[in-house]
Amino acid sequence: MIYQTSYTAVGVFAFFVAVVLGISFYLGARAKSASGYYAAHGQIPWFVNGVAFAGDYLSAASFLGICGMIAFYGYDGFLYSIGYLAGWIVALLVIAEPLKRLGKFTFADALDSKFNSRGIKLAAAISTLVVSIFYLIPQMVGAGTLIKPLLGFSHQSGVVVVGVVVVLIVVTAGMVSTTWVQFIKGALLVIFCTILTAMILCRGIMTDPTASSATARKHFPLATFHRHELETRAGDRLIPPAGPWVDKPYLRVEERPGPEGIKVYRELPNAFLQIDGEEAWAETQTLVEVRTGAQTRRFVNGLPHGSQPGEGDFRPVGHVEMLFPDRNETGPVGPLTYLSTLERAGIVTWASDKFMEGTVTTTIFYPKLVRGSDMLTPGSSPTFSGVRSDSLLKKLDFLSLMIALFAGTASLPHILIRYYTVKDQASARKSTVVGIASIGFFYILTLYLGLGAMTSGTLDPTNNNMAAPLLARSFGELPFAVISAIAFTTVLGTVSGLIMAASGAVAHDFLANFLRIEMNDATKVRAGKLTAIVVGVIAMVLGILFEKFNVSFLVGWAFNVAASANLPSLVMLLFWRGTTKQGITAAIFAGLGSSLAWVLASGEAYKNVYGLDPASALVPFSQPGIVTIPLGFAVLVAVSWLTRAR
Amino acid sequence: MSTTSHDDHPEVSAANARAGLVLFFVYLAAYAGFMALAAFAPQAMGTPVLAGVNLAITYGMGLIVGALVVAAIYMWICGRNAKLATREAGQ
Repeated sequence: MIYQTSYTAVGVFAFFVAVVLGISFYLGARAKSASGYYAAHGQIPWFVNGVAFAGDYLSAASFLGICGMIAFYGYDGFLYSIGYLAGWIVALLVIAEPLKRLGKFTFADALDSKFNSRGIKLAAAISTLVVSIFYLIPQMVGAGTLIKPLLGFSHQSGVVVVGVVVVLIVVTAGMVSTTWVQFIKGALLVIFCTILTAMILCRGIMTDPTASSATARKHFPLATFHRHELETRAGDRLIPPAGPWVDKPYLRVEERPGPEGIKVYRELPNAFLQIDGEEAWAETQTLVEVRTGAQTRRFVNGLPHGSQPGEGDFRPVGHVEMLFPDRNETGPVGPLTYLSTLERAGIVTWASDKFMEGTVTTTIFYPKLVRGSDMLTPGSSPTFSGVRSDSLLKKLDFLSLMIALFAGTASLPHILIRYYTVKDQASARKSTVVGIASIGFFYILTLYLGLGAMTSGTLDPTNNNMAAPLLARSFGELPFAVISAIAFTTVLGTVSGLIMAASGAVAHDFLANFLRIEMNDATKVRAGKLTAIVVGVIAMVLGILFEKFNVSFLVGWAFNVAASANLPSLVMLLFWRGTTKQGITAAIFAGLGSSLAWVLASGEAYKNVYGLDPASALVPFSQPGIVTIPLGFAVLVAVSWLTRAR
Repeated sequence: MSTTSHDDHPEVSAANARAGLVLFFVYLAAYAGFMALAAFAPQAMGTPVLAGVNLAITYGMGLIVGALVVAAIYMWICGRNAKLATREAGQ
């Protein structure tokens, strides 16, 4: 869909940035020392730190990715919410307090506290850097992808704006300003999503979204026909299936000459609209791209793509077709009634299909009429459809991702450094509980936001990242502007945490502790700031290079790599006296190397990175965690046993 | 004697860590049960259990709310451990 620049959104975002930078410069004077820069003097109040955990953790992938996934595929998006939150239990009950007790600025300090080993420092610094950059790429690409529809600028400018603002935040006051940015962002996100959820429940569920909002008025309704009806009406304009269209559930009618003048209908298998045993056929939306030389002309629904008169654009989709018992709207409903009503409803969701014939590419966006209960159980998305199959490997892929989400949270370096900003173990514990409360509450809201977007008649069939902002638009332009600006601020909070983690790894772990470069307090701060600028620039370059990259699965991989590289060492150091420094170093490298290699050899990478056939991938499923996390433990035990003092 | 650091005493830390580990395994069992149901019995997840809401959503929400409950129990245990240590130190 084509989006108009919302100047209100630009204004609200500019206001956020101004406030955040103002705070950074104001606090800058307080972070002159190394302990100020790297750990905010350990003086952050536990409540603020707890909300900052939420701001650090709830990345653009959490907010936009999960809402979008729920809006298009239902329950499967919520699986991520559950896994991401459950991981905090590991952080609270196993990792938080020992990490606080043993470390100073970075988690390498904690790992190395017993040994004073350069090997551990190097391994931990490399793993921090790799995981942070893995996590940074999707955040930066996300910023670029978002800025175009949300604020109306180009991809590159989105990446550069985020990069520059974040580097400014980090360089002015390090962990002090990073904490406050994350606190503000975390609070805004939770508060406004609560308001949005309340508005969804007050509106209730309705079968005619055009009645509810200005944007939904352009909504694409479900228009169904019988096959004989279509055939009679089309007559000799009906195109006989040929080439890639043979044996596909499509009927094509030539409305006007040319590939763009073809109207496409798709069979609509469903349990509701059958008469005399005959399936219904539904109208679709089409994107036709005609390549002539270096130029590509794009047509949407038969017209040149654009928003001027005589041009065509996609129409918003997604609604409830029928409620049981039969009625047009529910009126305001409670949170449980909302879910149970949707489970019994007939919902129209959208998917797409692509056909290539010579110079013409046709993408068809088609409706599906499904039972709500089908959308509210696991397995309705392509990612997790494996759980409904009989293939054990596909089930293992699902289990592996759920294990990585559970184990990965407590291994993410940008989360771990937050434990050094509070004064003692009790504060570390209390702030984790505040973090769990705000993050858990937010993840419950994602279910309502996603389902609200699914049924509000405002979804963009071509872009599922836009689900949450478009849902807000169904309530008016101001909610849209605020949610868009918050979505963009979301990127700032997470990216500044990541750059802080990377800067600590390079300046503190690598330069000062591994290379043993003599640095006084002021030089150490300068080294940290310089690293932050370098990492920021690298992040901007990667964000621009990876523009076309599928970002959501990178986040899942970052969790896999973090869990495989860091968790075995963290856990064994705390619970096994026999752990040796060689064991820790070997386990970090083994976990990091094996999970990275697995990820790069997986079907997902074949499909999305190299453009190869996923079936020829070297590893049987995409998510490495279920293999590489135990491998990390095994390597640690084996090497420790071989190198133990005799 | 500092007023805040009882919690950081080695005995208190160790007692907290033991309690943390027990709670961790309780939660892990609940999470593993959820994963197993989703992977091996996705149809069973459609059974309505709570006010017409199905098992998938109830269990998922339960894990989120459960995390907070576990966190609250852990906080309470840690608070009690610290109090006991203070009392002993006072004797």
